[in-house]
Amino acid sequence: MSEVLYGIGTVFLLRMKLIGKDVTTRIILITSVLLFAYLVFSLSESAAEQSSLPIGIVDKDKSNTSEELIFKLKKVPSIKVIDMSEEELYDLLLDEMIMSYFIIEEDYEQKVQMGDLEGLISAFYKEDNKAASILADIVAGEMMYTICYYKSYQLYQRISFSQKQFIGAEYRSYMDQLLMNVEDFNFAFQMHYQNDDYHAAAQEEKVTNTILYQQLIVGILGILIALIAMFVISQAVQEKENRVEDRLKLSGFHFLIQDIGNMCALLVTEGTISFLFCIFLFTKFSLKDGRLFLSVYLLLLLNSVVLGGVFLLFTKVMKSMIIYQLVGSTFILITGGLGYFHLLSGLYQSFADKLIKFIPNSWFIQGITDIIIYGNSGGYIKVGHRALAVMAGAVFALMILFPFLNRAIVTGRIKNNGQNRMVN
Amino acid sequence: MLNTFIKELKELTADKKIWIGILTVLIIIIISTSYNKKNPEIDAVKPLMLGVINKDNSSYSNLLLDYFHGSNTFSSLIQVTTGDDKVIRDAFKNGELDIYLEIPEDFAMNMIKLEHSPVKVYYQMDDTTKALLFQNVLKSYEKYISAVEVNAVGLYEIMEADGMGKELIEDANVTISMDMIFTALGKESFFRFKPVAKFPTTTVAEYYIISIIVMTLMYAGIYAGFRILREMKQGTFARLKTTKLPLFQFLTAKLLLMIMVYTIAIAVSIHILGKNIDTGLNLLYSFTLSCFSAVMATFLCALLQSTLRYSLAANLFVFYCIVMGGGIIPIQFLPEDIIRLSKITPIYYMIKGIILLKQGQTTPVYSIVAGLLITSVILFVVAAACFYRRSVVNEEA
Repeated sequence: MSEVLYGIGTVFLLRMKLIGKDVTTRIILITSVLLFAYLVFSLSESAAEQSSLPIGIVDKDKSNTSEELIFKLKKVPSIKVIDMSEEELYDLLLDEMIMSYFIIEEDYEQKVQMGDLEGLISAFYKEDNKAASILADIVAGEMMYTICYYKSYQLYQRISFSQKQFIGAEYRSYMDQLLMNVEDFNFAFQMHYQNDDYHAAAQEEKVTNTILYQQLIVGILGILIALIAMFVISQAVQEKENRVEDRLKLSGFHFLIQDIGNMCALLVTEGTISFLFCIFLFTKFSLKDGRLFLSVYLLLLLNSVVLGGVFLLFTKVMKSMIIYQLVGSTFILITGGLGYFHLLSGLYQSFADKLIKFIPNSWFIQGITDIIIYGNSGGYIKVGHRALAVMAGAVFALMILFPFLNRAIVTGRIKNNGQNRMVN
Repeated sequence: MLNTFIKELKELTADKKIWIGILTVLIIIIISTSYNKKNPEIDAVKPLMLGVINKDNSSYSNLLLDYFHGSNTFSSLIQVTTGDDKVIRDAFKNGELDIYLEIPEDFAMNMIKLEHSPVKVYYQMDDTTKALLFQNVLKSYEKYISAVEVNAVGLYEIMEADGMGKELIEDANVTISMDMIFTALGKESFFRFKPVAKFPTTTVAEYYIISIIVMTLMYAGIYAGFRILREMKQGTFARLKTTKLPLFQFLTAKLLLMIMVYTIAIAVSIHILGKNIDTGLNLLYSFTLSCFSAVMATFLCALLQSTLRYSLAANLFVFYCIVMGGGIIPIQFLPEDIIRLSKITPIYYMIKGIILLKQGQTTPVYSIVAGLLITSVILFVVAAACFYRRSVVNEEA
């Protein structure tokens, strides 16, 4: 037992020294952490704004009514209003920096007051952009109160009754008072968010467009963790390339000791970096419960273990650093991409739907999303934790079984070659 | 130089595993690009399955349903099923419905009395994206109902305060309610829609396919850097000093094969992605991107002597360029300070160039080509100078 622990410790220390003693490597890792921190802070600061659809607006009418409309539009959370000239907005539209832009035409206020509602606003959009009509509906929603106000006022004016008290300013004053005095007046839907996995309530204030942006940030973190795991394990490939592994076999050094030593080094490296990432996420995603910090950290570690295990499996098959790099980066690209595809899987039918369940990044994103939305409701261990734990178990099982499988394949090949020679 | 090129070709073709890897990646890109072209986005989009339990059946509640049925926007995104309590709830439990609404009894009457009797909405939260999409739809609908409700009630109360007759008030209430409801339903007439047909839109799927093509190219460039590193480890650069073969010629021959392979792969992918793309410009642009990718990797391995350092730095460099250049979050959704940073990353221009090519805007593409080629030349010269000064690189144990 002491020999085993000594072996694991030796491999672990070797890996840590190789990472730690090289100044350039330390600088690169620290720079990477700082860059990620900057990205998280920058992206989270403006998440609410940046997750909105950008639109342009030009006010040619410059009346109280048109200014009131622009003021209301700027308060709509799902859109980001950009005030610029028509020419600038046209260029932004061609550049696809905005989805659409709207021009409030010159006689907007007059036409609304008279009830002439045709062509009040010109809507410019790229011809095949399906989001344009959704944006027009959002703008129309903010116009409705004013339009309905003047319609009801016009009807009131047309009624022939001698003792009308609410003419002009009195009518407006009464309507403003009505709005102020009635509590909870605005018609609103009562939302209930259900999830069979948790039987718990989602935190309503968390279910906003910002969550999509946060999921993208988490996906980026998942890819970064994969890259660091690939780097840490690449030392094992390099040793294989230099035939160190063959010499180790002669010494009777068991492959599992090496694998466990490598995994310990990975956990310490990823664990340290993940701890810092956890602080960034915990702060910027406004997770208040301290135990949720541990929940996020555990998820990060599980993701690291799964990815580390996958890369260790690669080392068993690959002898060349070049092949390892090629396969590793392809793996990260595909799993990273499919992890994001998880966000759209409910909307798009695709063959990739079936693959998503096997993608660690997908469960990682799902796990953090559940922590943000549900908090501690339904426990601190989410579906993402369990899925990653199962994947980690499967990967470890493969790592242990791999030499036996390999031996069986090699023995099979030797037998076949022997038989072929006999036949010949 | 030709001999070096032939040697590279033989080395590349000798190792079958490398070819399997390269071809696998190429096939994945080409299949996903052509799959996207053959399947227009609208066919691939699954509509949201919405169930409605309507216990009210008034004009207000029918407005709620007509809003979804009548709108061109939502009829393609949402499929509405009306039914009784048990049927809808069971369908929701069985996963046949994503969301269901329950319009309570006396919904319209309570609205007139300003008694808040909300419509309950039940979402399946295992799909956040779908839930958020529908939440945004409902939030925009809330404005319509509020606007109609406030003004109808306001007029009712004003007429009551004036002392008008009950019958007159009721008639006016019905007239104005219907008028406002039909106005809300005909909201598309508020706008003069002016589509800009100059350049086609890049869909979300196309944007991410372009992003994946660029990412794959940058990671493939790292592979070219590893081949250079191997030469460094073997002492080739030191031995070159004893031959007549200049270093830059050797480097060029080394990189040329990889650049040619990447150029063909990228050109084919871009060709499948866009219709009527000029072949010559496509090849020039693909060559430029491939050149830049391979030279950037060469520059990085000239700076960082060891395989491990290069592996870490190159992967992280490419990754952060991708994130900041709009490869993961599209540029229009990035904060202003990151957009400013993105314009110094090569990925921003690489993605933009392919989008411009697809749209048929050729002049800006030439500017991007010139910029990237000049940068490639500078990086190549610096890398060659670094290699010239070094002899054998010993990997530190």
